[in-house]
Amino acid sequence: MPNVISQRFESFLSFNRYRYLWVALALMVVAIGCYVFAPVKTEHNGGTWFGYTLGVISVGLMVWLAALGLRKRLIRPGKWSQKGRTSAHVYLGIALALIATLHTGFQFGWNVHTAAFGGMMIVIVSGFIGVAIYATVPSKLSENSGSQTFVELKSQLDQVNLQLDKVLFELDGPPLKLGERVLKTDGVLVSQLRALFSQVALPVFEQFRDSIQQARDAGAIERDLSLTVLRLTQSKAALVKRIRLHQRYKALISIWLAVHVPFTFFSMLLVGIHIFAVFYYW
Amino acid sequence: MQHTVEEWLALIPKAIDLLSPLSPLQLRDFLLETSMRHAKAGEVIFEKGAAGSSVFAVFAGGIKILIETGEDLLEIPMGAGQMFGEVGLISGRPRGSTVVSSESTILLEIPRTALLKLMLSQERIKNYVDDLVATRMFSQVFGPSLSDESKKMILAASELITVPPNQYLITEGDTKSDAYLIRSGSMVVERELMGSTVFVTYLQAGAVVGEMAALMDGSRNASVKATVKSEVLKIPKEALIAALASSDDVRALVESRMESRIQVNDFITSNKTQFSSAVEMNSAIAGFVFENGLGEATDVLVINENLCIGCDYCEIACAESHNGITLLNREAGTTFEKLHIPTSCRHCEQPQCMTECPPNAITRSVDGEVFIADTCIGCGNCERNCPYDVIKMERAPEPRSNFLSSVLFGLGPGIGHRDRRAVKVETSSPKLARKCDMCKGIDGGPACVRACPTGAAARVSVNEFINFNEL
Repeated sequence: MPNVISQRFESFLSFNRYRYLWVALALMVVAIGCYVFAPVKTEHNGGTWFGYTLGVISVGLMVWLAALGLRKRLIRPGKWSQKGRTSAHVYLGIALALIATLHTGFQFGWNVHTAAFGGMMIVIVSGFIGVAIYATVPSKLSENSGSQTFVELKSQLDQVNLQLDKVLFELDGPPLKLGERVLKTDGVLVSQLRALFSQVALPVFEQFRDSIQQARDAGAIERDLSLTVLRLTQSKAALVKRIRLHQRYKALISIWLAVHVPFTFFSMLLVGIHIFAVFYYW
Repeated sequence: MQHTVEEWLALIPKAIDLLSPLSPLQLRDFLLETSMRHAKAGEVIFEKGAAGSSVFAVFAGGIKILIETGEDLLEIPMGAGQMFGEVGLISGRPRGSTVVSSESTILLEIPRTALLKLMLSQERIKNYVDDLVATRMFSQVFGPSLSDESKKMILAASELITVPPNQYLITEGDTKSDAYLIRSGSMVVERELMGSTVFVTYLQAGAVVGEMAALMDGSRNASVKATVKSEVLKIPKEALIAALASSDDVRALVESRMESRIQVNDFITSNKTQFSSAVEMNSAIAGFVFENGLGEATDVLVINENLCIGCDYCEIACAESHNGITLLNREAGTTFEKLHIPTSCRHCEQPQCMTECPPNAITRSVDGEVFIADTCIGCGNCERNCPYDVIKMERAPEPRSNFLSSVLFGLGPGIGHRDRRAVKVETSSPKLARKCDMCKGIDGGPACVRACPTGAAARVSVNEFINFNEL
C-alpha cells in the first residue's frame, strides 16, 4: 500500500503515538522501583503491605481487562474508539504480568495461589499469540483471497464442480473412481481445528491428473477430453487450496480466543479462590 | 407586511428576477416546496466549507458575501432580488464563502431539487441560473477584480460542454489552446513520462484547466480526463487574453497560479527517475480510485487489509446504530493493494439517488452527509439510481432484546446480530430505503470506525489520499 494512504491508518499497537505503551512502561518502572526500594520488614511476598497493594492493583487490572469483551458489544454513542481500548488492553495486560509477578515475591509452590498466577499467565501468553496473529495473518488472508470474497470463491468452486461433473460422465474405468473422489472434495470444513490442520494441497488431485495422463497415453481417453479434465482439475485444485487457506487464516485469527477467553474466566475463578484462601487462613 | 396569498404571489416574482417567467399557478406550486425565512442583521446564513444544497434569493433587505483574498476580507453586498448559494447547486461542492445578512432580511430558501426540477421545465430559468453560476465561478477563479464587462464578455464567448466519464478533455501534445472551467464533476491531470502515464493532480468543480497553453502559445503539456460525467465551460483563448488584459490583478492571480503549476511539472519531470516507483504507485492508486467512481465521493469508508481481522464489528456497529440493519457490506466491494473499499455510501458530490425522489426525502445535511429522511415513501427509485449499489429497501426489524438477557442467555435478537431481520421481521412495516447516513446525529461519529478493534477502518475524502503533494 502506498505511503500516502497507509499514513491514514493507525494500528491499535501504535494508537495515539503509543500512548498506552508509555502508560504501561511507566507503571512497570514505578512497580519495579517500589519493589526494590519499598521499606518492607520481611522479604517480599503477597502478605506485606506492599504485596497487598500490588495484589489489589492486579485484581483491578484483571477485571478491567476482562471487561473488554463486554464493552466491545455495547455499541453506544460517544467519543470512544475500540482501537484505543484494544491498545490499552494489550499494553496494560503486559503490565499486569509484571505487577502480578512482583506481587508473588517470586514465591511459587504447588498451591492455589500459584495456580491463580499460572492461570492468569496462560491468558496473557495466549494474548501475546493473539497480537502476533493480528499483526501477521490479515495481510496473508488478503493476499490469498485477492479481490474475491469467500462467497465468490465458493460459487466459483460450484461452477467448476458442475463442469467437472459433466466431463466425468464421459469417463470410464479407473479414472472415474478417482474422479468421483475429486468431485467430493468440497472446500467447506466445519470446525476451526480441521481448518487449521487440514491439507491445502490434496494428493487426490495429483493422483487423478496422473491417472488421466496415463489413460490418455494408453489411448483410453480422447486427447481433447483429457485436456478439459486436466484443466478443470487444475483450477479445482487451485480453488480448493485458496478456500482452505482462507479458512485456515480465518481459523487462526479466532482460535487463540478459544484459550484466551475461557482461561480468563477460569483464572478469575482461581483468583477468587486465592483471595478467599488468603483471608480465610488469615 | 400583511398580505393575502394573491398579493404575495404578485409580489414575489416582482422582487425575485429568477421567478418572473413563472405563471401564478406554477409559482404557487413551486413556492410550496420552498420556505421563507427571516434573518436578523449580522446573522450568519451559512459558513464557508459547510455542506449545503439549498439556494437563497433575497426577497427584502440585504446580505453580504465574505470572500477571503489572501489576508484581506472582501465583502460583496447583495440586495433584494439577487440569488446566492447557487454554485453548490451545480457543482455539488461545499459552500465557497460565508454569507452574513447586513440588515434585517427576508430570504426565500429553495431546496436544490426544487430548483433543478424548475430548471428542467423552464428554459428561461435554466439559462438564468446557468449564466449566474458561470459569472460567479468567473469571480472565484479570476478574483474579485474581474469587471462585470469582462465576465459578460467571457460568458458570451464561452460554450457549455458535457464530458462523459473517462473521456479526455485535453490531450497531451495537442496544439488547441482553449481554457476550460470545470462547472460540475471532476477531472484528473495525467502526463506521459518514459512510456507510462503518471497521475499529476485531481481537479474538482470550480477549477480552470488549459489556461497555460492558452496564454503561453505552447502545446498541451498534460492530458485532462473526466473521472465522472462532468460539465465544462470552454473559454476561447481570445476571451481569456482579453479578460487578463483588462485588469492587472486578474493577470497577476492567474500568472501566480500558473507558476506553481509549472513548478509541479518541473518537479515531476526532474524527479521521475528518482521517485519512479512512488510516482507509479500514486498513478496506479489514482487509477483504481477513479475507476471505482470514487472521484465523486466526498467521504468513503476504506479498510486497510493489513489490519482487518474480518471480525465484522463495523457491520455490527452499523446495525446497532441503525435500528438493527447494517448499511455496509464489509467483504463485498473492491480491493487494490490491500486497500479495500466496502459496499457503503460514498456521499457523492452529485448524488444520483436524489434525482428522482418524489418526496425529496434525500438531502445533504450541514455536515456533508447525504441521508434519507423519514418522509421516504419506499418507491425504490434511489435504490435503482445508485450506481454503487449501496441503498437497500428494507422492512424495520424487531426491537432488540435487553443487553443482559442477550449476552447471558442468548435471547435474541440482541447484541451482535448484524442483521436482526435474520431473526424476525416486522412484516407489517413497509420496505423503506436505507443507506449510510454517516451516523448523523450520533455523538462520536461513524460507528463503523469507532467499533474497529484494530484500526483497519477509516473514512477519508478522495483528495486526502489522491494528492501529488504527498508524494
